[in-house]
Amino acid sequence: MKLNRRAFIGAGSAAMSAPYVLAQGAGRPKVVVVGGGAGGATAARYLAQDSEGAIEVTLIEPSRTYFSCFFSNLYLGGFKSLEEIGHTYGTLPASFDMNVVHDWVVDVDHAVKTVTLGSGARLHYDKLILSPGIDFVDGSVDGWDLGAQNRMPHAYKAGSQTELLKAQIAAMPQGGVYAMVSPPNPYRCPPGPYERVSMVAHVLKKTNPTAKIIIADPKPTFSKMALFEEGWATHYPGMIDWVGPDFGGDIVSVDPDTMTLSVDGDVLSVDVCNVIPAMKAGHIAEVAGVTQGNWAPVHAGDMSSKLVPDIHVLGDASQQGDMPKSAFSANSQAKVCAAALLSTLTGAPLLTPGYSNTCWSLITQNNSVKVGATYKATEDKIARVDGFISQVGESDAVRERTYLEAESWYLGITSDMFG
Amino acid sequence: MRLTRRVLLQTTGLGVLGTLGGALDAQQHFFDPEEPTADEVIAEFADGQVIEDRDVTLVLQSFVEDGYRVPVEIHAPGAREIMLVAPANPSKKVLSVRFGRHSAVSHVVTRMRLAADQEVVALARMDNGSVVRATQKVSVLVGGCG
Amino acid sequence: MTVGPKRRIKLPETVAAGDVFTIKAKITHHMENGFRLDQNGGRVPRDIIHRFHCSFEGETVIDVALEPGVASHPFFAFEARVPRGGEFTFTWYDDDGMVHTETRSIDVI
Repeated sequence: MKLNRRAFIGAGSAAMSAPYVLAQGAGRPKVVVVGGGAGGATAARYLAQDSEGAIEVTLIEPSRTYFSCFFSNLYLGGFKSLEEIGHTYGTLPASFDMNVVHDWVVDVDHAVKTVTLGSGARLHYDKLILSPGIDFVDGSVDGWDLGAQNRMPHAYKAGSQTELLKAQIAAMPQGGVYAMVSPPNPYRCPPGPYERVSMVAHVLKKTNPTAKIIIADPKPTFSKMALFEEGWATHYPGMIDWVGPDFGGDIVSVDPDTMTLSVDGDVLSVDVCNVIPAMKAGHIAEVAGVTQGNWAPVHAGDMSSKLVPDIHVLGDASQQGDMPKSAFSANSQAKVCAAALLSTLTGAPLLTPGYSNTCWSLITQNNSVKVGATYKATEDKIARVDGFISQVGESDAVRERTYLEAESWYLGITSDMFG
Repeated sequence: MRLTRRVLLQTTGLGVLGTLGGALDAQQHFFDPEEPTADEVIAEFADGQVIEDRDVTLVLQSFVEDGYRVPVEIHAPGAREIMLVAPANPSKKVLSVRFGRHSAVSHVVTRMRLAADQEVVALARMDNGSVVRATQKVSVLVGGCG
Repeated sequence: MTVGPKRRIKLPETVAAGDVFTIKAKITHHMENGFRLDQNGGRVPRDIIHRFHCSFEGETVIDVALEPGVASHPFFAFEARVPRGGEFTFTWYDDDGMVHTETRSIDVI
């Protein structure tokens, strides 16, 4: 691929008001988006749509079918089929002027502004958006590595892992034990593990009512804890045992060969062991040089990297200030980022960025709880403005309405992502 | 321990506030005017002693994401009894602890509820009868996601 | 299997004479504070563990009077010292009149 020389004004900072100046005959500015999840697909779509062909957008995503991690717990709970949470990418290039490439990005050379694909091809970018999600921290759960994920699945990247976990739950003996090792902060989807426990309990209550669920948690509290505890006590009494750091929930080891879990020295035989390890930014972020520690620090105004110019980082991989790592957040950040790039690259007017997030969790059928907030960009970080949370003791009607909101949101976000 | 009177309610929906004569906070707690105030609770514990600000340590974060389960620790070496007071909670007295013969240290770690921003008070009664106090201001967020 | 709300206790099995050691105790109980309003605007009645008592061979280690401000699933960590081996008794008193008890032995070397 031929390198195009660019003359451009301004450094890679948040205050982009001057239009991006291209050398004569250089063609459209190229934006490459790595990762076709809630962040990447949304950013690519809106850049392609709103630039009306002025920007050359390439989305690179290894999966041909995207199984949304969000709502994958509902598939575990029997509320969704796998097909309902699966989405293909064909509508994007068909509806908008953009390129979708199914491949891995294995290298980023920010000096010459190219990405290298697994197939060997190299693509030039003027601006790069990385939205690679998460990878797991090696050795974070004693006794577990990726080689053990078929025996002790994480199911924290949706698709075959989720199918596997669902099959393992169905195969549990009567009175068996489902164990979960919950991750330390920060991690993708703070209420996720606990919605999963609710969904597993929902299934077991019907098919295996004497089965038990045990959660070993290094965190002293967790997202929507009051609401989950209320839900568990009401709908699944006696089934769920949460062990926090007070009683050694942070001192955990597992043995996939013997299917045992040790919590603070007490060894337990388990039938399913859902290990959710500590997380870090998707590996390509580290390769690209945008990470500091486990995550990629970004400017709050436009999600641009604080470390490398012309790269933006969205979603779970970013150090996103007060926002949680969630699909909703990634989608919100993607829109801010797309608007900022549209302004920089085509001179479109730039509005003040605003961010928001809502996390919905299904406790049982037609009973969902939510937590959310709005945020603004500050010099320092994306800062919370105000928030809301469901209440303990709410009526069934309120909980059902909350659930319907979540369904509505799912349609909206997947339509944002896939056109 | 003083028993408070409980009010039995008619279910009149929106009219309930007037019937009860109480107030609600953001978490929809009802604040019962019959409940002893923080000052009353503290005065009862102090039993006429002057309260001095010394010799007790209250360990509590100054900012919490969620008031549902907040770690708190009280350390008062030599104290016979301690008490924790949360002036902005619907029930001001949180707990009292009496240390017995086999207690090694007048120290307890527990988890409390915080209904709103407030200055939490830890009191201790020493072996010589004196009463001491430590306080900690806490801000409580609502709706932090994680 | 113990009947009633789940209890968790942690303390060493063996200590040296005169050693100070930590005891942790927790009971599952939602601690209904009595100040919440239900769907119809009525008050949800109070239902809490109102007393936790830990004794060693009949003598108090600590005695806690709990009020609704104690978080759900009341947890306490405290230090004890015992002169000889014997049995700890942990007792939780529920508003509903139930009394829940656990015992644990300790050896002193």
